[in-house]
Amino acid sequence: MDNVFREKLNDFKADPPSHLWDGIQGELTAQKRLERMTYYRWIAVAALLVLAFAGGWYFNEDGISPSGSGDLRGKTAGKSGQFIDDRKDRGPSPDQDRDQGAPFLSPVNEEENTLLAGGLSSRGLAGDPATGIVSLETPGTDRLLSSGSLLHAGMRRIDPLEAELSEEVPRAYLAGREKKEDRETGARSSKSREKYPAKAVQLPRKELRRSLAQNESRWKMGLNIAPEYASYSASHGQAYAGNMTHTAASGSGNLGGGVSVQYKTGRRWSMESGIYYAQNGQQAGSTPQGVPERVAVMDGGTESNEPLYFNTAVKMEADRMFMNSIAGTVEMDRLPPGAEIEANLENADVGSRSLLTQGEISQVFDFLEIPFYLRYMLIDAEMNIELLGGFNAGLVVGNSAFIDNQYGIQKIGKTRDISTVNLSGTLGVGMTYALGEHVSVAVEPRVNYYLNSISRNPEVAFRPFRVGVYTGLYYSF
Amino acid sequence: MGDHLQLVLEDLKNIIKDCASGKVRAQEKIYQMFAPKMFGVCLRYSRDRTEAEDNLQDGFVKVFTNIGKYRHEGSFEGWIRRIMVNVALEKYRKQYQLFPVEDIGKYEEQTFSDGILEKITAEELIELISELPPRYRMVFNLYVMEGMSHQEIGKEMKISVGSSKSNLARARGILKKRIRELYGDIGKNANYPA
Repeated sequence: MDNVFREKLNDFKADPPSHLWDGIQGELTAQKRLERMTYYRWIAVAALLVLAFAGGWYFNEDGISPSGSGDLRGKTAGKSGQFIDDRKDRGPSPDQDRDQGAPFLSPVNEEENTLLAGGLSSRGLAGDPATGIVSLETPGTDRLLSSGSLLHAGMRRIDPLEAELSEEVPRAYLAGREKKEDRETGARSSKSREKYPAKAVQLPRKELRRSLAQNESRWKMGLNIAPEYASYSASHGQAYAGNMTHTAASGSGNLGGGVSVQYKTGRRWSMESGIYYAQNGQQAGSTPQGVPERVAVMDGGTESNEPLYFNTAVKMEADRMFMNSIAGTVEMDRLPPGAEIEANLENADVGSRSLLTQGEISQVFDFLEIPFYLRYMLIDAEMNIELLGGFNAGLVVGNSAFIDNQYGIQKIGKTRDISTVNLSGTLGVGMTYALGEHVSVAVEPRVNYYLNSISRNPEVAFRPFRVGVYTGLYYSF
Repeated sequence: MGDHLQLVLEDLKNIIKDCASGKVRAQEKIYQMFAPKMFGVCLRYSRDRTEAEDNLQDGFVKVFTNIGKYRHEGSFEGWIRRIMVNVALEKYRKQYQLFPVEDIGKYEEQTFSDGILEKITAEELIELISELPPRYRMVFNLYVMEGMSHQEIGKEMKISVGSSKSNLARARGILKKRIRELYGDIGKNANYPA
């Protein structure tokens, strides 16, 4: 009997129904999509960790020397009227000055990161690790097209929950929201009824549940990092500009970031506050100085490799030097190593001198900004797009002037007359992609412009601005 | 002929390679080539056509997901068939393993001429097999159709060798009884190995 069965059935064929091929393709497509999403999630998390690490490393990097020439009093003038620096030949100072502005952005909070990572991994969307097949539920039936992975048992347990997410739920949910909005507007609007038809849009159940979870969450906390391009707009009085440094690089790249809190006030509107760190400043360049070696060139000698020299008028008062620069007057409490002071014969003022150095001088300001933004959700889809705008109270928490010369970057003082509290405006576009029920990743290009001059000097109008891309994770609850 | 076979094998290799790259056309070709036979396999393991369709779909999803791991050792059809059997086994373990075996009572040893069996079509045989209780059906298929030993069956189904043997005997008994009921005519005694 066995042989007969074997012979007859070994080559037995039967045509499967045509819809099976569509079912197979549907499952394969869904699998690929899930794999891609898992892949994107891990990339986003890895990128944020790298940025957080880079930010922490960047702000903890040591690059400032505290050395200077020390007290300017008692320096003897040389034959040409130059101040001779006794310590000129010592070379770069071994000490590092850490006072360039405390780094605001600490390494990523491990607890929060654990929470977020746990939230991501506990989604359980990965299927059987051996085969990669994920159990899916065919709508309308309780038949499980499972490859037999452990997820099968999990899917059975959440069947009742998913059964609730039927067509009735979106209708009831939307009807509830409609009533709330009618209350808010103070009138029953037939228009809003038209907006929310009785038959809700059919979303896949997992996405519907995620969308509902995201929509129901009122609060959202965010952690952002932003590579930024910082620049400024400036204008000066004539007298001030006559003794001012020349502009070099007008912009610089920085890393900012912060934490934010959003509160959803309506279906599309939310408010945001928080605290952000940003850095801005400017760099003053060098002008070439005529030197005897150039005469040698003209006489047929070798071409000069004379470096450019920073050459700007400075005013000496007691033990300090003051120099007009783009963001305001720099108050130097020490003569930078390698720098020379020369008598300024063009100016009759007794205290007027010229500062000669190979370096470039920059003025850097660290801001802590407290934003007050409004967000409007333009597109509410798998990837949300929001418009955001508002104001920031910008507190200047760091004010440093640096010189970058052959001895490295050294802090030489600060800028005078800088206002501690300033006001800036921000505009931006937010793109948010939900990674799960509570977690989403956002990319938000923003422009920030200071509405007032941060210098109180009436001769100086200095308004920093930044363009940055804020990347971060949000957690809704 | 040998050249033709070689050409066919090369073609199949290329199709498998394209399948592994995710090309839908290649997947469709594989499906068209092997689906009818594999559906026949699934029908044997299932209690009804609906279950067979489910198993076939799950099986081919597994085939296309894991085709990159196929090492071209042995027959490709055998590899796909093994996947279909595994799908059926996994479903069996989930659905039926914990259920008590039905007590079908004692069957008389029946014999009938092989001539009767010759007249029964393959579809009818499939129908008879699908009527078997799940455990007997699984053991019968694995032993008779897949050629597995009782030890191997015991390992797959997590039953003892003795249970596998008795399940097989009972499966045969039920089939013979059904054949007799349907097609009548008990012939001479015929010995066959247990």
